[in-house]
Formats: sequence, C-alpha cells, structure tokens
Amino acid sequence: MLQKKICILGAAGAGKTSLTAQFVYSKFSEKYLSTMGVKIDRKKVVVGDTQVNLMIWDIHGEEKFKKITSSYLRGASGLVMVVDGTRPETITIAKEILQRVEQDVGDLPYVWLLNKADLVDEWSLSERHLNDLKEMNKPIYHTSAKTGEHVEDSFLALAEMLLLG
Amino acid sequence: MSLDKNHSDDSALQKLRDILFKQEASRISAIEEVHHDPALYTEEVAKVIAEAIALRSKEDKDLGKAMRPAIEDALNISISENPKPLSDALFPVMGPAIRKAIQHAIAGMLQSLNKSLEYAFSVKSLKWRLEAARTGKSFAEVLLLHTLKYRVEQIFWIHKESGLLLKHLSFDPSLDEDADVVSSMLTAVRDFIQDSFAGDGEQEVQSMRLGDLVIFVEQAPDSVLAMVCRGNPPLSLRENMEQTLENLQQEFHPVLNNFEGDATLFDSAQEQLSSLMLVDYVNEEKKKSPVKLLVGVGLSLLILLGYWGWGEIQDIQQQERWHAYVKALKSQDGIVVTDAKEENGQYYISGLRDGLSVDPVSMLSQFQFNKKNVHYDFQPYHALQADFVLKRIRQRLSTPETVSMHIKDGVLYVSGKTSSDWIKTFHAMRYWIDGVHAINDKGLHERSSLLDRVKKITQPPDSIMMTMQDSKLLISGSSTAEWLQHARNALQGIKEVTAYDDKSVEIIDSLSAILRRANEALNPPKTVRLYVTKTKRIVAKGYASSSWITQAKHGVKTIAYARGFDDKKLQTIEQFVLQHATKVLLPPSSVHLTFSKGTLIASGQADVAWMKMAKGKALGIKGVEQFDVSNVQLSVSSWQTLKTVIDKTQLVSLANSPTLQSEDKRILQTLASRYQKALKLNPSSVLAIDFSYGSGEKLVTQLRYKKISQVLAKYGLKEKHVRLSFHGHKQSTQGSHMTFTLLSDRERS
Repeated sequence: MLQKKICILGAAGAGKTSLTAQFVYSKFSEKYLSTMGVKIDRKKVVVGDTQVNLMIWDIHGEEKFKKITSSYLRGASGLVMVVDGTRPETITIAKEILQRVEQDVGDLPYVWLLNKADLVDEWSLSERHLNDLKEMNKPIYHTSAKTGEHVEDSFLALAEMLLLG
Repeated sequence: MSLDKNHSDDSALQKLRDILFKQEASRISAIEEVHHDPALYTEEVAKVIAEAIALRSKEDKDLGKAMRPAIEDALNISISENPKPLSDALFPVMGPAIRKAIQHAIAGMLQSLNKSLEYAFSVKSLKWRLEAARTGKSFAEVLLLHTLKYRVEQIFWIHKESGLLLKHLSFDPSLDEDADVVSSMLTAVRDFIQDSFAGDGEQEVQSMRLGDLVIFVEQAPDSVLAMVCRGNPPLSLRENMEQTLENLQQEFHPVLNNFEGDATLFDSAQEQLSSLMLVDYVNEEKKKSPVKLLVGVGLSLLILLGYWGWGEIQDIQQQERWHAYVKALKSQDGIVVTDAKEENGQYYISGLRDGLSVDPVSMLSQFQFNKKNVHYDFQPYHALQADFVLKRIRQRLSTPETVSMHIKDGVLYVSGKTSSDWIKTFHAMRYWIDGVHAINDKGLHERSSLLDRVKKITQPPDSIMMTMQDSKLLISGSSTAEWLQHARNALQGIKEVTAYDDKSVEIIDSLSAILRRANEALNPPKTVRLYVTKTKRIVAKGYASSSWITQAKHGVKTIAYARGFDDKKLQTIEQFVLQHATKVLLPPSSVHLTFSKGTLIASGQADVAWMKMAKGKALGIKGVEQFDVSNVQLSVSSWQTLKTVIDKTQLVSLANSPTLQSEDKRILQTLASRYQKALKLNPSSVLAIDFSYGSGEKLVTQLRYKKISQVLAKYGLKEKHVRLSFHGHKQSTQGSHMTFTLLSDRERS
C-alpha cells in the first residue's frame, strides 16, 4: 500500500471542505481548520492493483492577503485546486496559490475542480476563464459536493497521475 | 614479400618477449591455470576465505546480507532433505532458548496474575472501581493509571517532509487504523507550532504534554520519531529514543531520501522500534507475596465452603453447653431441675427453687447463653439443707453478727450476746423455724445496749419505737406531750446519745390529735362540725339526727384525752328545718308551723297569697319532703286585697286650707278599718302616707297632717303603724295631695 500526501487548495468558500467532508475519512473535526489552518483526512483509492492512501491536507482557504502556511505544503505529491464556479475571482486566487506552491515546493501534478456544478446555472465563468484553465493542460472536473458529481473521479485521476506519472 | 617480412618481425618479437618475460610468463600461466581450474582455484580461495570473511565482516554488514539468501537456501535444503543433522546441531542451543522463552512467558503471566490478585482483593481496587464508575472509565484504565509508572503507548516513525507514516507501533491494535492520519496531523501540529512560535530559528518541537500523556518528538534529517507515553518516563527512555532514531536514520537514509510513499520498505525497523515499547509499574512499598494472596483466596474459599459446617459445629457446641448448664444447675443446692428441653432455638427449664439459692440467670453468661432464649418455670420450695436453714433464719430475723448459729444432728445451736429485742423476736419466731427439730439457745445472752439504757431511762410507752443510728436516737410512734418532754429532758443526761430525732412522733393528747380521734370515733355527718377547745372539750356545731346526737354523747367518752362534750350549738334536724322554714316562708301570726319526719305542717289562718307563696317555696327547703296545709283556713279578705284597696286611696286638699272635709274623714275612717284588718293578717303591716305639696304649702300641709293623725288615732292607729314622707315642689299647686300605701314588714325594710 502506498501513501501519498496531497493538498487541497483554493480560495476561501470555494467548497474544499465540503468536498472532503462527504467523500473521505475524517478523524478530525473542522475546528482544526479555523485554529491550525489545516485538517487532514484520508481517501483510499485503488489504481490498478495498488491501493493508495491519499492523505488529504485540507488547507484553509486563502484570502487575498493571507498566506498559506508553506510548511503544510512540504512533501506533497499532488494538489487538488478548487474553484467556485459561481465566483470567477476564485480562479485568480487559485492561480496565485499555484504560483506560490511552485515557488515553495516545485511543480506538482494537480487537477482542477470547478466546484458547485449543481449551481451551474449561476456560474459566471467566462469563456476566457475556462480557456485559461484549459491552457494549463491539467484535468478539469466539474464537481458538486452536494450531488457528489465527479468527486471520486477527480481523486482517482490525481492518484493515477501520482503513480503513473 | 611484405607478408613474409611481417611474419619474420612477429617471430622476432616473440623471441624477444620470451627472452625478456620468460619467467613472468610462466608464473602468469601458472596463475591462469589455477584460476581456470576450479579445483586448483578452490584450493587457493580456501586458503584465504576465512580471513577474508572475518575482514569484511569487520568493515560492514554487506557480507551478511549477501550470504543471507544462500544460507537460508542452504538451511531450507538441509532441513527438507534431512532435518536431523541440523536439529542435532541446534539441540544444545534450542533447549536453553526454549526454556528461556517459557520462563519469560511464565514470569510475565505470574506478574500479570500477581497484579490481578493484588488488585482484585484489595481495598485499593474497590476504590479504583468506584473511581471507574464515577469517571466512566473502564476499570482497566483506572488500574493502569494508578499502577503504571510509565508506558509507551504508541510510536510513530514519520517521514519528515511529507508527514507520511513509515512505521507505527501501539500497545492497542485498534489505534493502528488511524495512525496514518494521526501521523500527518502530528506533522501539521509540529509545523504549526514551529511556524507560529519558533519563527525562522532552528528550534524544534521536542515534546507535547496532555494530562498524563506526553509525546516525545525526536527529529532526524529525514524522519521524525514521535513517542506517546503515559505517566512519567525516565530520561533514559528519551536517550534510547534518540539513539534508535539515529540508527534508523543511518540505516534507512537512502530509502528515506527517495521515499515515494511505500512504507513496507521500513518493515525491518520493527525490531528496533519495538525495543522502545517499554512499560514500568509502580513499585509497591511493600511487595505482597502472591503466595499470601493465593493463601488469602484459598482461605476465603475455605470460609465459604466451611460456612455450613461451621453452623453445624456451632449447633453441636451449643447443645453441649446447654447440657453443661443444666448439669451445673442440678448441682446447685436449693435447685431441683425436673425438666430441661430445647425447642426451635429456645430453651425451657422447670423444677423447684429455693429463693435463697443461686440465681440461674446469673450462670447463663458462663455458658454463653442469652437470657432471652432461656425460659424458667421454677416453683418455690424451702430447701432443708443446713446452710439454707441457717441462711433463712439469719435473713428473716436480721440476725446480728454477734449471734452465731450452727446445726448439728438436727439441733439449732444459737449463741452470743445481742439486744433483748432480738432475743424476744427470736423466741417469738422459734417455733416457725423449719428444718430443725430442736433449738438450743443456752449460749444466747442479752446484751445491755445503749438503746436498752435509753429505754430504761425514758420508759417509753408501747406506742413509741426507738432505734439507734450510730449515736443518734430515732424516736417514732405516738406519745403524750408530757412523755415526750420527759424523754427530751432525760436524753440530755445520756452523753452517748449525741442527737435525737422525734419529728415523726405524734403527740396523742394535742388538740389536733384529739380532734382527729373524735372525728374518727364519732363520724359526724356533713352537717356537723367538731372542734376542740383549749380545755380539750369537744364541741359539735350544726344539725344532726337525734339518734346521732345521742350516740355522740356516749361516744365522746371513749375518746382519749377528751374532756366533755358541748352540744349547745347542735340542733336536731327537725329543729333546724323548722327554723329554716320559718325564715323562708315568713308565716303570718295566724299560722303555726311544725316539722316531723320530713313533713312541714302549717296550721291556722292564712290568706290565698301566702298560701300560694308557701306552697311554691316549702318543698325547696332542705329536709322538707312534704308540705301539709290541710289544717290552714283561708281568710276571707286577704292582706293583698286590702293593700290593693288601700293603695288606691287618695286625699286632695284645697289650697291653703288645713281643714278636713266630712268626706275626707269618712275616707280616713274606712282606711283605718282596712288597715286594722291587714294588721291582723300581717302584724308587720305599715301604712305609708305621702304628702305632696307646692311652694308655700308646707305649713298648711303640716297642719293637715296633724288633723289626719288625730282621725287615724281615733280609729286605733298608732304612730308605729304609720310611716310619713313629704315631697315639696318648687312650683305652686292647687292644694296638696296625700297618697296611702300598705306595706308589709319586708317591703318596709
């Protein structure tokens, strides 16, 4: 069995915690997020014959001028970047976070989660926004913490990326 | 040509080579021969292999690792083909190893058993069980909390950079499940603390504490060792932890450096980490021997098992004690046991018992019986053993110590000196003494005591009792005042009597004593009161029947110290009732009252009004049972009728004229006549005349009164029969008014 540390990142309110709340094993309560800025959960996925334990570091959503504790990123194997489909500015913030992560820990494999797919009618992402994301050449999943849409798929996809390169 | 030339050059070179390196070439070929010939090469290697192995083993452990597969294969082959040689070879070491393992296991088991026994049967355990119930923890938890010095509960070996778990050891397998997330969280917490509080310095988290839990954190370049301990671990544990991490870091450095998430690569670290899973118990102040505890448990079992048997033994013992008690009772003089039995835990005993014998209840405690459970039915009897006879005499006669007694051949011998009183008593009682057929009191003599001397001097009457209390004389009974005074005087002359008490002596010739005896002897009715004069004469006052009065006159003569009887104030009942009836009924002079045998008899003349009144009151008079008026003649005109007529009489005079008119005179004549009749009916009758006059009429009125008086006197009315009153008014009136009223004696008063 393999273990992999992944970090789930995004702007505050993008829905990171909601995504992990329903689909992962949570030993610790959300209060750690507000106190320590991080909460660690576990998601078991199977890639081929290999079981992988994804240790998910749910890192407190970053406000514009509030830095993510960089030490939480150390040793991560991959990232889950979460964006709120109804708030285009969350894409900008996510990109900024990505840049900082690259500076701190280098390039890491990651997936984009366009969250709140259940509210797709309220999405306000422009074509430009979507094109910007697509140009990054990373998997993009339209997820909904509410319906569970593509959540499992996205974690599995990341695990495959980590194992298979 | 050129080919030939070349060929010739090669052979020349060969020749030269042969010349120059002939020896070396032969040595090389010899070496090659050895190298290519397995047999020869093996021989050569065999010469150095032992030294080579020893040398390499000193340098590193690669040789061992390299040889391990071959050795394992060799062993497998050897065992599968023929296990005997190997087992024979290992036998010398297997035996001790197995014994050691078994000993270790047994020691562990014993230690565990000791702890269990120790805490299962101690007061402490009860206390801890209570604590467990109170705090909601399991007993095992509480037990550990109190008995553990320290215990390493978990060890996390963590990849430093990623926080991923490399190895986890725990005393509780259920904790393994979450070890990976805990490992990551520990890393996050460590990072959080370092980032938040240590700034950019190189300080690292070394420990965290929560209650009695402490988490030691040791950090190496690539990994972190976190150890969760409960209690107070020694410093040496921390040192061991550091050493272990250093060893692990060194051993696994390459793997750690390239860690890709596969923790199985670190399985071999298990042994080293396990050595850190230590536990140490608190040393009890006094080691309790498990043997003692086992003995304690055994005893408890014995007690439980023997409970029934003990009950049986107690029953048997109780029966034995009962028999012993009955036997002891039977052996007592003055007690005859006729029956003794036990029913439903209650004991019953019956027979005869002399009151002077030992109390059977007092013997119960000696035989461990409760008096509530033993019931007696002893009939009284007199034991005739000499001891009992003597004891009984002494008790009944209050025998003084100066008198000795003994019984021999049925004869009671009494001797010694004592008071004459006691000797008298003894002689009076001698015929009532049972158990002896004769009494010999020749040795008994009277002793002249102080009391005897006192009696001799004072000569007390029989009604006086004297006793000595040390030197104090106590006098009681009754005597005359004269004797008491005589005694008091006499006692002054007896020096041995330091004090005397005669407060309880009744003076029988005192007035109160005579009165008391008179009342006792004469038993007067309630209507009679007796008293005694200073001359000791008994006086009776009140009324009584003639018969009692007669008896009293005789009876008073028997009353000691009484001197005469005075019955002047004593009436017979008849006299008393008649007197009382006359007072109540006020009979007119024409009526005569008598009383006889409960009947009040009226005779003579009376008017209707008196008769009516008398009949109403007569039977209410105490002692009057009947009222006989058969001899009363009713008078024609009653007093009341006369009063009615008289009271209506008025005279009105003219103003300023004292002269009586002829009509006035006639009225006055009639008035006088009527009054005379009334006077006969009631001798106490009075004629009241009221004169009422206005201002200036006073003198005329007085003159008129004189005229009227003269007229009335003419018809027999005297001054005592008339009562006058005058009422003057301030305003003037037309003449004066005269009104007349007939009054009886009572009304007049």
